[in-house]
Amino acid sequence: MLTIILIGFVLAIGAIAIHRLLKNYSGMAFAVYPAAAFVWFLTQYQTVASGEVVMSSMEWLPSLGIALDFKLDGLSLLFALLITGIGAIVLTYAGTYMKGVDHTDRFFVALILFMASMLGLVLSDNIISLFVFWELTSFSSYFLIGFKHEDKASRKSALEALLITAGGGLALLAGLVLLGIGGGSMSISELLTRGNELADSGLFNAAMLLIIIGCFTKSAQFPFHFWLPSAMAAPTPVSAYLHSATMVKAGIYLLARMSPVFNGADGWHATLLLFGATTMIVGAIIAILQTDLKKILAYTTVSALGLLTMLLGIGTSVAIHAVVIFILAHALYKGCLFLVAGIVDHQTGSRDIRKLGRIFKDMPYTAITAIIACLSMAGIPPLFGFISKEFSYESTIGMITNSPLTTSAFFLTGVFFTAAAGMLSYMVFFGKRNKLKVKVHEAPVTMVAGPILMALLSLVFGLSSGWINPLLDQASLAILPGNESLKMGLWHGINTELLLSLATLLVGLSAFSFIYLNPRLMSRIEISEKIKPSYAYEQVMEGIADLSKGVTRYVQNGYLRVYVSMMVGTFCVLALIILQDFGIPKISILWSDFRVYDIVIGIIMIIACFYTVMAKSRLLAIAMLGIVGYGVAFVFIIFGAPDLAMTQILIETLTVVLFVLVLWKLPRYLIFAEGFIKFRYFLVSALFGGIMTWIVMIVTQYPLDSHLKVFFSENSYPLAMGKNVVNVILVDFRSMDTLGEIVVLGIAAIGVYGLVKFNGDKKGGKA
Amino acid sequence: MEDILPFLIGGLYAGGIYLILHRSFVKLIIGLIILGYASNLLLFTISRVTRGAPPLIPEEASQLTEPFADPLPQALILTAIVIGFGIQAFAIVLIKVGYQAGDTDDLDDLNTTDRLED
Repeated sequence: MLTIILIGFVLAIGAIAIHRLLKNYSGMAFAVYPAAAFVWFLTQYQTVASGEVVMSSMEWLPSLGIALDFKLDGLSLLFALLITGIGAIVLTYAGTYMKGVDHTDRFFVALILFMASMLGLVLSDNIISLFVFWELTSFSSYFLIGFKHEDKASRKSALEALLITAGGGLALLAGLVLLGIGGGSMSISELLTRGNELADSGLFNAAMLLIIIGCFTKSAQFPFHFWLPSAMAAPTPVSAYLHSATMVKAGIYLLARMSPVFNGADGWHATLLLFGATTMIVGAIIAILQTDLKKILAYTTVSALGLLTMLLGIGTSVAIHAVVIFILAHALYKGCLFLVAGIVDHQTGSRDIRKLGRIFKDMPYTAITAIIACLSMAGIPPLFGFISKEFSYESTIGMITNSPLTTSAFFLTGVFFTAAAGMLSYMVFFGKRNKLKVKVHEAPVTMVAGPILMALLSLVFGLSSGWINPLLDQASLAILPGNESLKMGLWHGINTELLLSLATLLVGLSAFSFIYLNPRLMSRIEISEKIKPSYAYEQVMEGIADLSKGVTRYVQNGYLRVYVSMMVGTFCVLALIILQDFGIPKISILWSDFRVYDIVIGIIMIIACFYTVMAKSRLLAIAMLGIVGYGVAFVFIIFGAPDLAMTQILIETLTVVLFVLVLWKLPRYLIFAEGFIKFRYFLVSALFGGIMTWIVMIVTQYPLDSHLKVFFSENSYPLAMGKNVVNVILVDFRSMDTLGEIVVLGIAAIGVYGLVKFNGDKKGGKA
Repeated sequence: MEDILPFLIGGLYAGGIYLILHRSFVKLIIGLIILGYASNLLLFTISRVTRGAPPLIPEEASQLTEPFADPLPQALILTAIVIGFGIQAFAIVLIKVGYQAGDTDDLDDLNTTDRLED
């Protein structure tokens, strides 16, 4: 399994080269990869269907318990088959769909990257590797949504999707880590059996909540749902693949995967039921108000994801059966419908159901495909969607509490689904009139074949659901261990579910006729911007931008003195906090130790420094600066550092010379600060100077252990044959340092030379 | 002398910062030079000073005998002085060229690249 995923990543890297080579046929060539993977997963079908689990493992960071463990059970296999199967169809389709579009190579890179990551996600048996793949799918989704990067709306949608899913990803990471700590393992298979340990650790609720948040953002649950419709900015194959069949189901997958741990907790049921139901109904209502084919599909997808969440929240045997059936049914019909929408868009140039109509005769294969998929979506026998709907009804009717409420929520959603299915099929392919300006042709076989295959599978699984029964059975066992065995069939006799289905259909059809006959009325219904969660998102984003602008304006205001004051101020505060532990140092001046010249030099330096600071004339300031410098040299002489003194005197002289050389070119000495401002500067600098004095006094009161002093004094002559120890250190023991210093000086000299050259004036190049 | 060194260092630091806080480019550089003195003296002082005993090995000896000044901080400070000079030289030429090109010595006129556009 690791090999399959790795091949995907390698292929993603090589995709650009392959695309250059094969040009328009690259899509089909890429499709070989998922198709081969699909076949490999099919060969595992018997093993998994018999209840066995295929494992593969590779150590990654054993010390942290992070491993590339992969596990193939019923649930993983269901997703893996969907990912590779639909992946092959989508790649073939995209090869034709993207023909003539710029940067198709990048598109394939991201799409294949996604494919491999998504496979890794559903196969991972380690929470950390699962998280890594999870984030990789978010990133590849970002690239794909933002594929038309010249378009501002596209970029915005991509960012929106990334921020929401990656933000949820952070919550997920925290949740997974808590889960790992609480359960004492990083392996998912082990964690699933350690629910009790987790509960004992007290991390149960926090881990559950964080994981739920992560899953909700990924699977577009209310109030995070709005990124999914925006993500329709992506090319249609992407919408079909990522944003309906696979990636958005990653959240559902993880919720299902974690069900054995959390199922049974009150919070789990309540949260999933509440948010699932809200998402389901909100999505379905908004869906029928749309006129863009892809938007209708996007909102029904949101609604379908809500339905899955809700079923997981119900968590009974039947509900889990309904989950796995609906995952398959939805992937088949929704993926198909997205691809059909892409075909319609590609061939007619429009996705607006108000413009489309009467194109059945022009593209009969596409139309029939779409109709089959819509029938499945509306839940009409003998399609697979019908079975799915029966199970959903059965699960709500069987609920002990809130049965009427949840059943009516399902009923309402079913009605809207039926209406939407009517809009997607009847209004597009039949309808009143065709407002298109172009002559419509059937799409090439590479585009139509995939959707036809998916529509046929909807039909085949509906008619002979026994084929797929073992896999779905195993999948439901992975979500709910010990679940009753699944028995799918079209005919269960006349019961409440069937009657409800029938009623849904009738009400749905009348709802559709109402929409169809009153297009004006429908277009007038608008949802106020302010109650949409996307409005809140935009407000937050704007708020963050404004805040950072404000902070930048305040902190980075362009005034050096403010920066310096802030740095000095921060230093002073931190230093004071530490210094208060040391208290006031003892000042014990031994006057007997003083020489006259000490005091004279000290006083001269202080006075010179004062005049440097206060001088009104530049020349005076520089002269005084020179005196301070010579004073420093004297200090070096007094305390046995003749080399330093020599260097200091030399350099002081050079500096003053250099200053004087450029002096006559400089402007008048600027004096800006007056009165109070000067006083404020004075306070800051006096505080800083005081603290430095304090630090020096405290440091010198503690004994110093200088074994380096001993080392250099002992080894200078024997090892380096030098009697001036300072010199020996510079040119021998630390010669690389000195080399670096020479380089710095050289660079400074080049800089000075360059600046002088820049001016066309050769005076001053004296470094 | 050891006892007044901390006050000298503090005074130099205060003077340096005070100059840097002003708007003039020339004062900024003078301030930086003074800060350099202060830092060198700080390093010199906190590694302890020894009066009148340079780390020079006498003619007949093969190693130093106490008391002698610690040679290591001296080597470090020597490096610092030289590098400091490199920076000073560059900065001094920079103000000259900057003034000729921009016709200003006012730091507040030189901050357009560091401010957010309105």
